[in-house]
Amino acid sequence: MMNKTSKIVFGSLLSAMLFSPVYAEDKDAKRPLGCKDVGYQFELKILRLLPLETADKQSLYFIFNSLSKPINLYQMRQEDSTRSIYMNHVIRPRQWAILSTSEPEVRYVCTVNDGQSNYGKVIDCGESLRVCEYARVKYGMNNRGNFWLEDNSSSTGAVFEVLHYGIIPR
Amino acid sequence: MKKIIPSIWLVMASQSIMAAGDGSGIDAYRQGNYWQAATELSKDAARDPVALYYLGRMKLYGYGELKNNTQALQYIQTAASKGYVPAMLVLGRIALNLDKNPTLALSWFKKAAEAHDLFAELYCMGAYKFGFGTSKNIDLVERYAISAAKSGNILGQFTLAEVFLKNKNISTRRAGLAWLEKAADKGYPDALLKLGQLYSTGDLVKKDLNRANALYDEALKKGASNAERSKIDLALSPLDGKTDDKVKSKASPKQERTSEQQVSSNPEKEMALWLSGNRETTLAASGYGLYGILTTWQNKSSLSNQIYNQAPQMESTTKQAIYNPSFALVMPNTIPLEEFYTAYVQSMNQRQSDYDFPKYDLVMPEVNEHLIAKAILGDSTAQFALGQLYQKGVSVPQNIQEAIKYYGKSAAQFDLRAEYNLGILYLEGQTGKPDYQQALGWLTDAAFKGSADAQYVLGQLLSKGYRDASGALVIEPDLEQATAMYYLGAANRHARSQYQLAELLSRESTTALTVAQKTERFNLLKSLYQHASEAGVTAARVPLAFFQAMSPDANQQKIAFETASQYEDENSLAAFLLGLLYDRGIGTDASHGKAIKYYQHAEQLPVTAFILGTYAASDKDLEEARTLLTKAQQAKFSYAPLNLAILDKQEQRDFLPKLMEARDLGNHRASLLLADYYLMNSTNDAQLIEARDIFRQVAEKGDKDAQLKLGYLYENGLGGPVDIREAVDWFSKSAESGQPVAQYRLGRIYQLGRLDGKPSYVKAKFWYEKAQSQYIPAAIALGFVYDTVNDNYQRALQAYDIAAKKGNVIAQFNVGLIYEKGKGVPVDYEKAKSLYTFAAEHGHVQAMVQLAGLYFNGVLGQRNEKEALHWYQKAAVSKDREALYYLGLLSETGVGLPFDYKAAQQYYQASASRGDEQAMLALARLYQYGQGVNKNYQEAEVLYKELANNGNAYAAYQLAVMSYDGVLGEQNKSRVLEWLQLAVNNGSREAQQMLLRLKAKTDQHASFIEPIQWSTSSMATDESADWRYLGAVDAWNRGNEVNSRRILDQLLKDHPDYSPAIEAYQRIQSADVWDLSSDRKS
Repeated sequence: MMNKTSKIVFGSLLSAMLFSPVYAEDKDAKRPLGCKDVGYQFELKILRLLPLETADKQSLYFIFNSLSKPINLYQMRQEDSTRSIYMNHVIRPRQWAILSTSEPEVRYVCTVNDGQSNYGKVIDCGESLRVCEYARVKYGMNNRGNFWLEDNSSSTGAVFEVLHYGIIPR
Repeated sequence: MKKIIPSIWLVMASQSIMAAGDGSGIDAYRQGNYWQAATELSKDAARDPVALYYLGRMKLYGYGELKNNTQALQYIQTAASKGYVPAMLVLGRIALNLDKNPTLALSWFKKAAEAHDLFAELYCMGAYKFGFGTSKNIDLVERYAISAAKSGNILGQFTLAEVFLKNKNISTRRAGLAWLEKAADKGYPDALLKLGQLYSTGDLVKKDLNRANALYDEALKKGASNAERSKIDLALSPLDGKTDDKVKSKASPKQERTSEQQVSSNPEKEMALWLSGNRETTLAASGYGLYGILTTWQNKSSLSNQIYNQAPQMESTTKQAIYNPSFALVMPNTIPLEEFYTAYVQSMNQRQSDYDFPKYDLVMPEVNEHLIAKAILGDSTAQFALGQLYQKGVSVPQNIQEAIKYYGKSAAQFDLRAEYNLGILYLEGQTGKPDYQQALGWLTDAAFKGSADAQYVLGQLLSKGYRDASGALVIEPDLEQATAMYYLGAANRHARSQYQLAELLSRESTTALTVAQKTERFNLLKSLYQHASEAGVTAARVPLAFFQAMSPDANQQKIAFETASQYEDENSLAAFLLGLLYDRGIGTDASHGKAIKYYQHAEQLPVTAFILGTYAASDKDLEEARTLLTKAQQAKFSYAPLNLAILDKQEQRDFLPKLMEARDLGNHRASLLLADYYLMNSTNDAQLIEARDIFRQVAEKGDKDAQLKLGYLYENGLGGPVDIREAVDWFSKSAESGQPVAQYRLGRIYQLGRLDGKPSYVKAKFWYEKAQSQYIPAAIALGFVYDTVNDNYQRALQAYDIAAKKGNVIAQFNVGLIYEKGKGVPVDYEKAKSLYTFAAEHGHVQAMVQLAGLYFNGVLGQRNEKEALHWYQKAAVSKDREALYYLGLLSETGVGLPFDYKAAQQYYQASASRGDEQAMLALARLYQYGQGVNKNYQEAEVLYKELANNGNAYAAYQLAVMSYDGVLGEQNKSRVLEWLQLAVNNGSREAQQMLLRLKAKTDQHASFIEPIQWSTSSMATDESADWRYLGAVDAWNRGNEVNSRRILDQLLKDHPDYSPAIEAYQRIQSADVWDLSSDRKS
């Protein structure tokens, strides 16, 4: 059940998506409206997600696989022993994956399957992913934490996925 | 088949220039080739308003055409009537400032505004707002404001906001608010004030007194003095303000309407204030004044009709200046250190070190109940600690199986240390027998979870492979995966991984990398060595020193030198680096001797063989040079075959094979040299195409010089068809990297409108300005655009000065013109003289003519015929048309030269054949009156016709007279009238009188009253007879026959025995011509 504010946000977001001009080639690979090119770094082949300080504790990342094969994301932790779950993920080709996180830093190794190693061949994240962050996100009480949402082939679809979860990107 | 391709391109190239304008005249005009433009433009004038406008400007300034204001205006009017906006703007300015006719001015600006010219739109907006030259019309204000606002103009936006805000319709008022916010965002003071007022009253926006106050403050800061009043009102208003707001919001529109209905007492002043943001009180000062020769030129003698004014010039550039193959040895000191570093490491195999498997210290000192309890309860660290103690047998008997058990429990909870230790344990066979699959499995899992140690160990295992005790290869090397592991380790700030990664990367080939990629690689390597070195990896210190040596920072260079000195004994890279540092004087004083000593220590290296070989070659020890360079060549150091090729060229051997070898090894300099060589020396199509390919390959890697050269090929159709868009792309890339010649060429394309036929002077000036201090032609071109397009002589002078100070003669000549003509500066003949003298002495022909003119006209004090003659004669050697004309004049009048009609005729002929109209008129006169030649009306007629068709009024008048007199055959009245009409159209007063007389004769109702002729002899009577005679002839040659005759009359009265004048006078009087003083033949 959406409250009034979320309906307005939903409506404006939807209309912005439906009526905003669509530019040539790869419209699905375009960042969704409001998702900013901030809060991450590509460094020595890995991806570092560094949620902005302005982020409301909980941050929402949209990550696009620009390759034509799946990309495996292996989370690297700094500490030797955390007993925490590793938020690994596979993004299907040309799909948007959505990560919701409350951690101050998340680092990923990117690989593609090469039929030799179970982990795949390490590739340069910077050459295969497009990333953006919604730094101001309104979460319901029950959906905070670290998790991946369902992938989607279009940025609009990915936003719907988020809304479906009751998360409202602003 | 291939061979004919370039000639087709050339034809296409030349056709494209011709087709663009039949635009050769327009192109010539934009480049300042006014003489060529004069002949070419008239061909286009019938259909092209741009050509008409340019012809108008040439006539107005006397550039390449005899100055004629009447004709100039006609051309400009025709151009305007055909829709050419700049012509409309000129006419608007003339109507406003010269005719003082604001209605006419408005009509021209309206036409320009219809073509969406912003400058004109603002004028129209103002004229209708204030009722200047028309009555006020708010609808029209709105119309022009919409267009101006959409172009992003703040005044337009604010005006539109004002109009919309007065509307009753709420949505229109909201649109007004949006425009107001736009103008306020850009800091327009009145918009800030108005927006403040809306916030103070809560009109259209939520009432917010703080915001209102802030907006008033900003408006005040930006200069809206009336914001003060609003601030005070705001301070005085009651806090709730409700009653007042209502009163205000009701009252204010009414008040505004009343004030609008008031008749402006001085609409021009109000409009000027409004347009200039309250700075100017006249429209002329607000940007709508006249400029250029119409107001700014101080030298009155440059303003008379029927003279040529020398025009400023552009510097021409040649292909040679761009493609200049230099077959000089590449000296070691000119090769970037980075290339030496790469060559060095690639020639050395990576040192095979032992495996280095880091071990963890014990987490706990001993086994105790507490530790066991924690482990059983599931504490992963306790489990790991127990594993360690069992593995090492500390405080318990060593038990590998127990260790594996506890490590396993810990690893199940993602303890990376436990996973790592399990991997090492299986790898080293501590279980009794190694299990490499298990080892790789545990290590890889740890690595992908972020264990830097596991990444480092995997990096080693996969880069070298791993052999068991018997020497059998049990883990295959996989360099790609090894590199990836070192990358991950480096990302985890693992110092030894960083060092190993740098070592691997520095051995990768760089030939395919772009400039940007090379820079990125350089920075990455430096930071990897830096971090590794700082974290205590001593092996990283010497490589780091190499990178420190490349830093512009003197401290870093010093550290590099110290490191190299410290390690030179034990490390050949350090010794090599030390040689380079001494050679270049980096971090220490340069010492070629010491450098050679260190190079010789490492003579077996290809790079040092190259360096020593090149020095031997420069010392003329060619045998030694070839031996050493060949050694380096065999080791595939690409500079070696390049220098060998250069030695071959110097010894006149076939150098191309080695040059090509160097190119094939990826040497950019060799590729570029080869391409330059092909361009300058080859007519072979295949080689031109190859040159284009080479430039393209190198350009694509980001080399700014290659980008320039490639752009030039496209611009000029060399090695392929002309493609201006490609040229612009490549020039832009190069220009953005700061290549001044590319900046110039890009500016030039915009100036000449080569991209789409329309010049873009803003872009042209932008690029010229960037290049002006480094590339002289750019400074001159910038000055030229300011001088001839914007008539902004101050800026022109600044730009020319940059080039003039560097001794450029064209710039000096252009500056000389500014001082001689007094363009926006007081006339200063002395300055002009010294500038012309410098330029003339360095061979600048037009400067010689101008200098001669200064001496000839006596403006420097006394007339100096000798100097004048000297410079005219010097310029005439280069067939300068003006010099030839003056030599003709001097020969005809016997001033400075002996009387010699034949010589005069030859000089005139030479000048006329180059298009000089004065010389053509002189020649026609000689034929018409038989002066020094046999009288020949047909010759005279041919010349007059050519002149008349080019708009020369006097020539048309003479044709009318000759037709009337019947000297060209039977009298043909309609021909007479046609010529007369043409002469009248082009501003001939004599023709007008004759036309009226003829009409008076044929039409009984018309009458003709002879206008009073004022005697205005232009020659002072204190001049000597021969100078007065020269003045008379010169005046005639400019078509001013009346004045000429007057001078002759006076001369003969004062000097009845002056024979040259008598002879000329007699010939003129005896000629069968129309006498101007009556309607009878003499």
